[in-house]
Amino acid sequence: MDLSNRAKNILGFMIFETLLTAYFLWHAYRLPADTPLLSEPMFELVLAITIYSIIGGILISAIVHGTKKAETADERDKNIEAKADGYAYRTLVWSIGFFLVFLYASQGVGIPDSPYQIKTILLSFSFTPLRVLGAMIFILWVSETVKYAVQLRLYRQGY
Amino acid sequence: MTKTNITNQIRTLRFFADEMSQAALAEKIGVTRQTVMAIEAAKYSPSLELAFKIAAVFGKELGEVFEYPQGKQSAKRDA
Repeated sequence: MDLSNRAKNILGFMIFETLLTAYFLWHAYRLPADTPLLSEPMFELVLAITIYSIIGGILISAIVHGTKKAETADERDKNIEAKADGYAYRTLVWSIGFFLVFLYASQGVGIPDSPYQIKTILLSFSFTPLRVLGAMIFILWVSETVKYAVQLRLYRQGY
Repeated sequence: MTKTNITNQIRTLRFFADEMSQAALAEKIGVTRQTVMAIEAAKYSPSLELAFKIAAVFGKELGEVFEYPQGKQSAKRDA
């Protein structure tokens, strides 16, 4: 597959961010659900993610561009990015909307502690700050992945 | 993604300009080679400013480089 450097860069970041998100979620969900966000294990996890993201970003740029200077974005690149941003934004809004409904439904539907309350299976899932953070990170990853995928599609098929 | 309606003569003009490469044209107009390829293949419609820059490289008028067939038809209708 013949890819331009810009497309390779996008593909590299798409894979890298997927791995980084998986790493975060894997470790975050192995912690007890009631772990405070300001705690030692969370600090270590965030620090590790920060360090990996810096190293990963440098490595991807080095692999894609080598010793050459990265090309500056021209009008087509900017147009493609703007279009992809539009898709990513819509994905983000819909995902957050869906998450809010999920969050609300997890408390049950109807008037609490009354015969009018309809308990849902989601009641068994407690949304602690750690889990909300995990869900937000996941939503951001989905949105970013949509952006990268749209960019790659437009670069391949023409825009 | 469909092709644009705007056609162009860039390939021909490059040929008559001493077989100017896409990379050379890209450098003159300040874009990447991929963008020149996309414009030439009618997969991307350049901005008006970029279109003027391309025409200027070949010393041509805008209409000699780019053509919009639908525009031609409506012009005929109006006449």
